Amino acid sequence: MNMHRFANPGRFVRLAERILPWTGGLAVLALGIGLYLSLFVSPADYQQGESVRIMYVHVPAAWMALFVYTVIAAASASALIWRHPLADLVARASAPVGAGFTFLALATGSLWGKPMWGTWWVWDARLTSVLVLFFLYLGHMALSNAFDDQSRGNRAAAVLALVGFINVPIIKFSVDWWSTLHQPASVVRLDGPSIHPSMLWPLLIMALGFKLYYVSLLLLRVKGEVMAARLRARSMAALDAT
Amino acid sequence: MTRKRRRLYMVLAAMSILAGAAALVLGALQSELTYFYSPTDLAAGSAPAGRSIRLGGLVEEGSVERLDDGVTTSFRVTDLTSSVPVTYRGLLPDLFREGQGVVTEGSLSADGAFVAREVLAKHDENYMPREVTDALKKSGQWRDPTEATE
Amino acid sequence: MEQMQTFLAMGGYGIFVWPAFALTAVILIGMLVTTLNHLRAVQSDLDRLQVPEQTQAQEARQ
Repeated sequence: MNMHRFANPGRFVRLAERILPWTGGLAVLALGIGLYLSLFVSPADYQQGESVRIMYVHVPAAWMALFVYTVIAAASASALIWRHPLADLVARASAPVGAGFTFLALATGSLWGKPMWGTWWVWDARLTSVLVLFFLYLGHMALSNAFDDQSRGNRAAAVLALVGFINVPIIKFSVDWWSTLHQPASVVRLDGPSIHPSMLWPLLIMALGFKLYYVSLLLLRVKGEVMAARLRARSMAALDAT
Repeated sequence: MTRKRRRLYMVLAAMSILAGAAALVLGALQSELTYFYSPTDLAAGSAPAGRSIRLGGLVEEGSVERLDDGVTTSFRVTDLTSSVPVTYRGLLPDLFREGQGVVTEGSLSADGAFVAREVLAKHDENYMPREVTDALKKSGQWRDPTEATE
Repeated sequence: MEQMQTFLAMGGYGIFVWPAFALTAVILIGMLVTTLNHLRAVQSDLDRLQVPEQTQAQEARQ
């Protein structure tokens, strides 16, 4: 029962308020340094020239799109199996953020694809599976708010999140399993990154910034969900009292 | 505790069944999910004839030629085993160059040449500054992408 | 001045690079602002609501 020690919403909010200044401050710091490195310090690519700088926002956004979905799937499993009281709130709070990151990955990828590939969009396995991920996020958001009784909506959204999780390895390995226009992985690969350190470091720092941004935003949003639940409980109580 | 355990097993079982189903579906859709065919596929006749297909590979070194009309380019697409001659009328993407990846959409003509309606550049997963490639070339350690693919 | 122009031109890819960075800024800041606005709205609703003493005591015990 140890893991339920942090499950108490009140305790979570107090803990979140203590952590937030740190994650928030570090996020601003990492994004600032990352932005400076990626725009001013990192070199142009030998093939792609200056257009390679789009990578520093496109790749972290795409990584976060997958990471946030993985968080939602884990939270949904823990909500369905252990009825963890915070798990549903984490999933609810994460879905719009994940949708934002996915949209960003698609849009910046399009802006990168036009000059390099010669097209804004192709229906190859990688791009199509990421578009499916975007729709899964939208479906999750719609479903979790589809019922008057929020816990029913959360339950339905959790099932969708688990079913849709099958898409995450498909996205990751699509570039290896099928011939795609999108190139294979450069950073997360068995034989080490195929990207020069002068470009890898700015990318990793930007990715760290994105992750800290998500953690900070998640803490704020879960706090909001806890407060909203409290508000609903109080308005019910106020109604009963009259 | 037993209820929780039962729910855990149910979720695990459902997820494995789902993963199996997905693997079967994706396996069945293998050819649909393939975005392009290689020159070897074309030579072996495993690409559907007559309808519009995509051909992908590397632009063969020294094969790019601009024809006299000024808008048609001809080049060969190779996967280092076999190669296919391609003609294309129109603007080429910035990344189109010899030794780089390319995906063309069009159809095979009767004489075995590929007439492309669209040419997209495919870049590889290597990122480095120009100074590094120059230094590698100077020291003789540079591996041309055309040779590195296999 | 010329340096600035070269930087903004991004080797001719400025029209793709800058929208990508601008869109990223808009979405990251936008999601943060929406979240903070929601928090503020919920907080003020909570404050405005007359809370019966009993419920408050119940919550404190949790």
